[in-house]
Amino acid sequence: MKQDKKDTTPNGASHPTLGVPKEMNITDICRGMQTGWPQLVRAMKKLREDPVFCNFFPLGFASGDGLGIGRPEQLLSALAVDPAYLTKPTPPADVYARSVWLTMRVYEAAQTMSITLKELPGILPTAKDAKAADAGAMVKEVLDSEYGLTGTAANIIKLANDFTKHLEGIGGNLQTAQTDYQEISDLLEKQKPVGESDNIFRSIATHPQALATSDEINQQLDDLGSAAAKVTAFAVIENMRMAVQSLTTAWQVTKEQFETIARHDPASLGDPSFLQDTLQLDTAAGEWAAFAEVTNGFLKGALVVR
Amino acid sequence: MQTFISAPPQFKVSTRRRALPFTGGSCSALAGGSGAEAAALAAYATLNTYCINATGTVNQNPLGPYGTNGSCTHDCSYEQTWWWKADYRPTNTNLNASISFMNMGNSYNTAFQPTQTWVSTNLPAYNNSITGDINTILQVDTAIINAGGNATPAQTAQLAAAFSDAASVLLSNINQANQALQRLASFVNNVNPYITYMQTTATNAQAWIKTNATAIENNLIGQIACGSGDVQNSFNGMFNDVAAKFVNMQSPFNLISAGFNTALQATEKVAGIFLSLQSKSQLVSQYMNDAQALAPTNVMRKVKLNSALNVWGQFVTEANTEFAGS
Repeated sequence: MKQDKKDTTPNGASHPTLGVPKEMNITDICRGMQTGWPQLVRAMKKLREDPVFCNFFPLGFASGDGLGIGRPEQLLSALAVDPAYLTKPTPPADVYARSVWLTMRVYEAAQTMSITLKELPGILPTAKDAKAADAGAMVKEVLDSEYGLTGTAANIIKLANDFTKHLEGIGGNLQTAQTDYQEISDLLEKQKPVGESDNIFRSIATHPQALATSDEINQQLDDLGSAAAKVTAFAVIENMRMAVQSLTTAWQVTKEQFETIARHDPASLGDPSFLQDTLQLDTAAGEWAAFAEVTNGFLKGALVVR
Repeated sequence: MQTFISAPPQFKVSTRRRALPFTGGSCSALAGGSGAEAAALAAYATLNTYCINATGTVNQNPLGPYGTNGSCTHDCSYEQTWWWKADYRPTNTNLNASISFMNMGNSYNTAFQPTQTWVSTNLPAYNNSITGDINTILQVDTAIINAGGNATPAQTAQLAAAFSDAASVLLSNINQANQALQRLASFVNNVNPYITYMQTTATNAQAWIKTNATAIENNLIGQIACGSGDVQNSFNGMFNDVAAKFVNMQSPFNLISAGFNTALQATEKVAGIFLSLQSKSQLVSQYMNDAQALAPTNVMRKVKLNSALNVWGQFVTEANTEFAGS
């Protein structure tokens, strides 16, 4: 793992390299993608039985058949109807399909970073025959232009920001949900017979008559189940939001890194040894290829239901 | 650093931490490896073995013929004889038919056929066209640059034709790939509900035998004046035999479910390869569009064209590797 993407030049100045920034941390970025989808689906099923929750989120992920959340089965069904479902310019509506859609775009961006960096030396010899500064201008064009790599990064930042906004719109207040859960849990705990197991559900099931009327207990258990489901759903959404946020930050750092590099004087940028030694061109291309492969691994497994 | 938020214990949300990025890992433990089609074929071959074994077990446990007879005396001088027969071997036949249904290898092969046709028959021709078009553009661009940067009318026409042909072939290629994906996705969708089909079929068959035989038993007992205890005992003997035989079948049927599940998972991985290919195809198209928007003398145009060649090469390699049958 890269500990620090900055390299120190002989005169002591530090330069960012062309490699993957440390913020592009797979653990953070993948967290939301590999989060507990089965748990989320079970939580949603529970929440859809809760009229208070459904009223609170009439258009959110509690409505209908959980279409707002989605899952691999639904994505497979969508592809059976429209196999180009994930290649449209606009993202799919549900969270799961949209996460796969965004990952496809990230994979494409990572591929572009890798392949473009591999192509960079190929444009230098011709330019070098002319002037190093001309070659540097070409490198700058590749790194920082509409069709260049900062443009690629900017596109992902926009798509990820849009997804974050969507996740913020469908999620709920996790802290409040956790507090509600704790309050109900504490209430039930107080009614637990002395010396009984810590497992609230088991102790109440064993001694319901000793605590309160069964209707009251059933209501409290139901409330506890809903509160737990709410916490699960909000936590999963929040984890995904944080993962997308990590992704956004990582691409913002990438964009800034490449903009900084593009500000080097053209003579340096056009110097192959500067590109290789200081900006670590070869290593960088490999790093981006490895990152692309990781995202591609997620895509290949994205339709596995079981 | 952001803190990972956990759900309550009974709904625990867990994640698997990866120590370091870029160690060859992936976001999903279910990521497909090389040779997804080969893995799928192996999974369906295993399912086939389970089905053959299960058929053997079903045949070794015939649900009939059953029956016995008896006699007794009632009202001092009346002797009554009774008998009953039942043969549930047609249920064995039905169970074998269900096993054949679950042996989905042939159905999968049919669903994979469009992929096979595309990769084996059409992709080589698409590959020739696309690489030919891109190389033509690169060569004409070089000639234009060497001549000072201005294209002749013939060169302009040649470039337009090459870009147009490449776009058209890319579209034909991805359309055919998408149709192949659609067949596979439909196949998984259609067969997904049958994971526990053998268990459901066996449970229903055993329940039907119980209902059917109990009706015969009650009818017989209602008609005889004595010996009902013997009749009940004889029927219970059949019920015990039937139950024991269904127990014998349970393990092979469970293996079929497990094998079916594994085979479908392998099929889903085959389908997942198409997402990777769709991304690559999108990239090639995007690079070609970008290149066409740039002047032949623009350095980015050469980068885009070479990138298109590179990713297209990856596309062809991945399709050939992942969809090869062995």
